[in-house]
Amino acid sequence: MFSGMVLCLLAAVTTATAQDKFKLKPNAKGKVCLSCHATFQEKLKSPFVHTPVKAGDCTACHNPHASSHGKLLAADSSQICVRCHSVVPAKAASVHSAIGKGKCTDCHDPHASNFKFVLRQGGNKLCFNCHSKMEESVSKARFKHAPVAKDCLDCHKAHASEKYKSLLKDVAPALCIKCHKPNTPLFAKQHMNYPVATSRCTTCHDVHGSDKAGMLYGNVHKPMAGKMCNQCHEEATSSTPFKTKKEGNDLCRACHSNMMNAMFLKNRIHWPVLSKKGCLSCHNPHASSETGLRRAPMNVLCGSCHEDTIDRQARSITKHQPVADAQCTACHKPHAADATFLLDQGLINLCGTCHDWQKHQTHPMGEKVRDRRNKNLTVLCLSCHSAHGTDYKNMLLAATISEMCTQCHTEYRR
Amino acid sequence: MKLIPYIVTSAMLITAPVFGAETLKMQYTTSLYADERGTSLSRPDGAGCNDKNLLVVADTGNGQVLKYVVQDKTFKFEGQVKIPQLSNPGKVQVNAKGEVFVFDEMQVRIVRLSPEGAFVGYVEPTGIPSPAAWTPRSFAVDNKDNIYILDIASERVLVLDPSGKYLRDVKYPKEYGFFSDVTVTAGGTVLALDTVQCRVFSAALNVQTLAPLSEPLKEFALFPTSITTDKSGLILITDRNGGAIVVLNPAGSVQGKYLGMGWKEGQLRYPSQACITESGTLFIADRENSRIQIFTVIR
Repeated sequence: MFSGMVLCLLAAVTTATAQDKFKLKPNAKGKVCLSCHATFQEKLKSPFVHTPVKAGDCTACHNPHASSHGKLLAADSSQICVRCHSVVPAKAASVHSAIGKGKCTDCHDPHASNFKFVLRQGGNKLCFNCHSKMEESVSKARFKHAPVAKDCLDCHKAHASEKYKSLLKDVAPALCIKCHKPNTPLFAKQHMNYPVATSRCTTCHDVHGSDKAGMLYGNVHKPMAGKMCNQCHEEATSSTPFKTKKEGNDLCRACHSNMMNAMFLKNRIHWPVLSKKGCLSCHNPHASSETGLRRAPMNVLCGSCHEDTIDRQARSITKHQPVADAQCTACHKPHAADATFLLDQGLINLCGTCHDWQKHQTHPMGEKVRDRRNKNLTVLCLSCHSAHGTDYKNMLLAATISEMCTQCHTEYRR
Repeated sequence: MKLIPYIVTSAMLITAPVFGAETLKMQYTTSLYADERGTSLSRPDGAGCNDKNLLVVADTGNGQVLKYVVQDKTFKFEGQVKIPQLSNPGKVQVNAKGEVFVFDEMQVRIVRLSPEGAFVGYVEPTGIPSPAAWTPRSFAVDNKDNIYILDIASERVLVLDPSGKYLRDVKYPKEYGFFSDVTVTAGGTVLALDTVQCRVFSAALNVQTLAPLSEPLKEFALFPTSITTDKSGLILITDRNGGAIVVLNPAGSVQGKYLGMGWKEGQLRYPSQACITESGTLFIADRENSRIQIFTVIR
């Protein structure tokens, strides 16, 4: 009721302002408009009408004469709504991207609609207009989360979340236990009697639906899939049930010893592997939507440390397909390798797995061809190209072909 | 005295935009391209030095360590170490006694060599408090021959006496990205390089936890992996992916960014360790150019 009163007051203020500004005759602030914009007569019969429209005050949002903004709006689309509607807290942890772009009308009809809050559509249909990939995965999921099928706003806020990421109303498990009661026998049984009530549910569960029973992420760590939590953790009855039986990589080594032994035979190691977090630097020990139980898609995961490399590709005119496809491991070994840059094999062979370099411009390449710029180097693919992109076409290291070639063939330099 | 093949000299003088009060210049002096037998260097990861003009090179791709005395743009060969106990030499440090410490990335161990180049043993800390687990990512040696190990397994810098006995440790800060290298100033301040945050952290003598010294340096460096300091406290950071050296003053303010990516002498490709002498001679392991470059830092 209070918000309704505020809106009425705001409408009255804006009406008075518009009336003063344009020196309008009584009733000219809206009724005159309808004489030309006759189709709005029908629209105004909708059950939900924007307050200024209902008050017949078109000039609250539009300039009747001229404007620098589309649709004769009185201000830029990113500013016009916030003149009356303050929906984003000052220090919001997350803001809906539509609002950030000033596209309130992507969701709201500025005049009238059949849905509450003058929304363009009701329920999830509206959200799925933009979040189409989510719609696809939600509709295909074998095990569906009921609130997702009903209304995204059960868990998310529409405009901004003051404290939480992803527009969430709360974080797991607080958000989850509003519906899921952890003290029921069934809940305890499903979690092997481990006291998970205070654990973050989204570590294992895909809240938007999954093909895996229990709505687990698509890739589940084998012990967990077999409900053998105690393979890694202490018994559920222990005073420290979540404590792992061994620390760090020593725990993983018990099963993945072959891989880890092979890793230590290589010349160069990916250092996070040996850090305190160890394997968990990159892998989720329970379940993940990514293959190999990676914590995130490779461009995000690798980019969390190698930000400059991912940025370089983003800026590059020509994209290198494996990088664009977030397949860093197409060229790099994620754990250890003999070559620098953790490359899987010698450069020419590596590039040759996709590119037929022997037919490349007939330029001699290989270990026997010396780079004229440096006697210690041989001519390889990276002599002219940069695998993560450059500012130039074809990932070349110079702006033009002639500039590239004359780095070595100086006799042709003009 | 023998000259190494392929030594090339020039008189390039590289000045950086000045960000602080002091103007620095880096003058290219010469490069080392091959060992005594004429074998080309292969992806050297380490370049250590001392104030007696001793240069120790980790010729990583060839699995050997090379020692030279550098004077007047010439390299006097002092010896070569190629031993089974050291398969993949990386960062190099020389202590006051002339002992050479080399990080072996394959074994993840620090190898100690005598001044004559004989294998003495591996650095094995004794008496370290809990947690007992330690994994070196890098290390440094100070002017008292104490050894500083960047321990990524237990998130600390272990400080050991010359024999390897635990003296103290410096804890990681609460917020950090990933520490790649450590060095220590003449006054005993530990400096650690956070590659992911592009930031230098420090802990003065008797301070127990690292704290930010510099602001994040992303404006100046892409992927810094190596840090060193001179006797005046000047800090030099090697930006591997940017092919550059970023210089900070002892307070952590940027003094300038030098050199750049390329093949020519005076340019770097994915450089690794750098080392600077008291007289301002700067050695850089120019890894992907398979050479050691030498500059004179003029202040």
